[in-house]
Amino acid sequence: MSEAIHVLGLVKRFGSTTALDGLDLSVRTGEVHGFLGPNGAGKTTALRVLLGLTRADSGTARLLGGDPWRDAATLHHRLAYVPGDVALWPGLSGGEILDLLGRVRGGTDPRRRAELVDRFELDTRTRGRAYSKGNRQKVALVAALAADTELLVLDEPTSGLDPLMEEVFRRTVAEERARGRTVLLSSHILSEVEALCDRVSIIRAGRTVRSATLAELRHLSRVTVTARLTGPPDGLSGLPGVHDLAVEGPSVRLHADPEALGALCARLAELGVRDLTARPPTLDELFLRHYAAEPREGVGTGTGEDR
Amino acid sequence: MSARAATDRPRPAGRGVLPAGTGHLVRLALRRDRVLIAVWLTATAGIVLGGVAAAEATYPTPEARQERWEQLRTVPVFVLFQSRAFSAGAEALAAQQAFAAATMCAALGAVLLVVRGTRAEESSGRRELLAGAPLGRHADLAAALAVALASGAVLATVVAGGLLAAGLPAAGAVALALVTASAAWVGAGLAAVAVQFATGPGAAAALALGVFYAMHMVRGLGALAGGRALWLTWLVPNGWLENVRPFADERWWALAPVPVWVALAAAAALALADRRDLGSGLLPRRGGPVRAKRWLGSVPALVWRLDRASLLVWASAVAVTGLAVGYAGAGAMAEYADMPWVRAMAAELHVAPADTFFVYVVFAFVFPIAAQAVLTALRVREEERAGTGELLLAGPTGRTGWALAHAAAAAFTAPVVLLLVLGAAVGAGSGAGGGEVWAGVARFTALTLSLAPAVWVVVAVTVLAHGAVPRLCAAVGWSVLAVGILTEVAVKAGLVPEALFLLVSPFAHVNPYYQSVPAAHALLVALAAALTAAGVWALRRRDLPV
Repeated sequence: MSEAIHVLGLVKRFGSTTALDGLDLSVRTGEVHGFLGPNGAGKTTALRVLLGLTRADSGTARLLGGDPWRDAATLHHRLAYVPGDVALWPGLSGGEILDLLGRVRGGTDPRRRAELVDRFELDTRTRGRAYSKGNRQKVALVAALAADTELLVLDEPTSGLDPLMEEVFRRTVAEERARGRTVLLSSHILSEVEALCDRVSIIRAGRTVRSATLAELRHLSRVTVTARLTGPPDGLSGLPGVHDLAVEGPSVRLHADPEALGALCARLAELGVRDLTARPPTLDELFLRHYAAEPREGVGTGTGEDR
Repeated sequence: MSARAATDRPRPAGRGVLPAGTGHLVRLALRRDRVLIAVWLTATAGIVLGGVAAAEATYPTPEARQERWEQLRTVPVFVLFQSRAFSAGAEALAAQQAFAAATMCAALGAVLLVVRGTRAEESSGRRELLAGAPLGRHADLAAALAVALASGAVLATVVAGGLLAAGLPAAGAVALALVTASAAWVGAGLAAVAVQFATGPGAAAALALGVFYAMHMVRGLGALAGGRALWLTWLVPNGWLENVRPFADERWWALAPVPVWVALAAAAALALADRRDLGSGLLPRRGGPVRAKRWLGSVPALVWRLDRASLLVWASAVAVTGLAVGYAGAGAMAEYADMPWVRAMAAELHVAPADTFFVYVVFAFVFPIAAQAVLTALRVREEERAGTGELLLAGPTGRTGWALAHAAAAAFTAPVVLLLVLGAAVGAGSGAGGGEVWAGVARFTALTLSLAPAVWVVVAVTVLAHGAVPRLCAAVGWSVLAVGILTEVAVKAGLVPEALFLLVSPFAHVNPYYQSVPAAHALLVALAAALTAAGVWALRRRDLPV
C-alpha cells in the first residue's frame, strides 16, 4: 500500500526547546489517520513541517511523493488544511473568504460549496471578526472540504464545534474516506478518533510512542477482569501476565495481558466462578496511559511496546 | 468565618470615586504601554524642545526674525497648517512653528493610550478575561483616562523643565508646556468617546485623530480668515490652545475650558458606554456579501480589498488638503515671488520662485504618505501573526507571490497613488488660484512622483526586515521613517552634518536642494529592488509564522 505521508526521525528545535525529537509518522493512502498527543506534544509543529511552513532541523519528510518544504506550493494543490486556531480576515464575510480561498486554488465546484455551507449551517454573510471560534472553524472546514484534494490535513478541527456539527463533521469525513481521500486528523476527542480513524499515531514530547490500528492498540493492552469466586483466590497472583490483583472477600479484580487470558480463565474455572466480566481497556484508559508518565512504562509486557 | 472572609475580601479599590479595580488596570496599562508612553513623551517633548533650541539658530538676527514674522503674516498656509504667530521674538516664533506638530503628537499618543486600554482590549477579547474579576463596569475606561491624563501631566513637567533649563522666560515656558499637555488631555477625551462608537481599535483611533485634525483645521480657517471669523478659533480646543500665546503676553484664561472639555468628554464616554454591550459599538455592524466580487480571486486582489478603504480615506484627505494648499498658496506666491528670501530659496531648490512654497509643502507631505506606505508594508507581518497568512500559504500560494503582492501594494498604493493625487490636487488648486490648471497638474505630479523612489526604499527596508528579522519588522520600518524625518529636521536646524543626512535618509536623495549624486533616482530604485529581493530570499528560508 502506498504512503501519502512518510516521516522519519524528524527533529525541530525552537531555541532551547525541542518541539520534535525524532518523530516518525506513516500515513497510508486512503486511510483516516488519527494524530494524537497531549497539549504541547508537537502535533501542530509536525503538521506545519508537513505543510512546508516550518523547516525541520533534521530527519526526512515526504508528502504525496514530494518534499514538503521545497515543493510546498505545488503539493498544496493536492492537499487542504484546517488550522487548529482559524484566523479570518476581519473585514471579509465568510462567503468572500470561501470564494477567495477557492479561487486561489483555481476554482471549486459551486454546488459542492453550497452543499457544505448548507450542511454545516454556516452563515456566509457574517464578517470574519464577528464569527465565533466554532464558526471560524466551519469556514475553514468548508473551504478545505470544498477543495477537491487527495489529502486533508485537519488540526483539531472540531474543538469549537457543537455536538450536532461534530456529527456532521464525522459523517462528512466518512464520506471523504469512501471517495478515496486520505485524512490526517489531529484530535483530542477520543470518540471521534474511534469513529473515524483506521490507524492512530500517539506522540508525546515530540516523539512517536505508538502507531497502530485501534484494534492492535487494544490487543496489546491489558484486559480488566473482575470475578466472584466460590473458593479462595489461590494461585492467581503467581500466574504470568497477571497484574494489579485486588482481592475483596470473594471478589477479585485484576489486569491481564491478552496472551495470559487463556491460562487465567483455566485457573479461574478451577477455582469456581460465580460471576465473570472481562473487558478490553476503554480508549480513554489507553490514551491516558500513553499520554502520561514515562514513554516506556505502563502498557503491556513490553512486547510490541516500541514501534 | 466572618472575620476571615472580611480580611480576605479584596479591598474596594476605588473608594467610591473610581470604579473598583481601576488601580489594577492602571498598573496593567503602565506595564503594557511603557514603551509607547516613553517613546511618545520623548518624541513630543523633543518636538517642542528641539524646535525651540533650533529657533535661535534658524533666526539668529532681529532681521531674520522680522523676515519670518513677515512671512507668517503673508503666507496663509503657515497659519492654516501651523498656527498664528503673536510676536516676532525668537521663542514666540519657535512656539508658532512647533504648535501643530507638538499638539498633534501629544494627541496621537494620548489617543493610542486610551484606545489600547479600552477598545483594543475589548475587541481582542482580553477584556473578557477580566469580566469575571471584581472590576467596576467602566474600570478600563477610568484607568485608560487616568494613565493618559497623568502622562499629559508628566509631559507638561518635562517640557516646562526643559524650557526653563534652556533659560527661557518662565511664563512662556509653562504656557507652552501646558498647551502641549492640554493637547494630550483633549485627545484623551476624544478617544474616550470615539472608542464607544467604533468597534475596531484602528477605526476608533482614526476617528479620534481625524476629529482632532479637523478641529486643527477649523482653528486654521478661523485664524486665516481673521476679523469677524476669528470666533471660529474659539469654537475648538485647538483654537483655545493657540490663543494661549506662549512667549507673547500669555493669556492663561484661554486654558480654562480644557478641564471642562475633558470632564464633559469623560462624562459623555461613560454615558455612551452604559448604552452598549461589551464588544459592540454604537455604530451598527453590517453583514457582508454572500459571494465575493468576481475579481477577488488572488492574493493581489485580496490585498487591494484590504487596503482600498484606508487608501480612499487617505486619497480624499490628500486631495482636499492639496487643493486648499494649492489654492491658498497660489495667491500668496503671486504676490511674494519677488521677495528676496523667496528668490534665494527658489535658487537653492532649483525651481521657479513662484513654485518654492509648493515644493516646500510637497516635501513635508511625503512623510505622512511614507507612513501610510510603511503601514501597508507591515500588513504582511500582521497577516503572518494573525494566522490569515497560514490560510493562504497552506494552499497553493507561494511565499514569493504572497510577499511580493504585499510589497507591491505598499510600493504602489501609498507612494504612487497618493503622490499622484497630491500633485494633481496642488496643481489643480494653484491653477484655480491663478494659473493654468493642466500645466500646474503636469508640473506638480512630475514633482511629487519624483519623490516615490525614496518611499520605495523605506518600503523595501520593511520588506527585508519582514524576511530577515520578522519580530523587529515594525520597529525597523518605523525607525527608517523616523530617522528620515529627524535627520531632515536636524539638518535644517544645523544640528547634524549634511553628509550624515545624505547617508541615512533616502529622502535626501530626491530633494533637489541636496544634489546628492547623479542618477540618484535610478540608484534608489535599484536599491529598493535589491532590498526587496533580499527580503523575499530571507522569507523563503525561514519558519512561518515566527
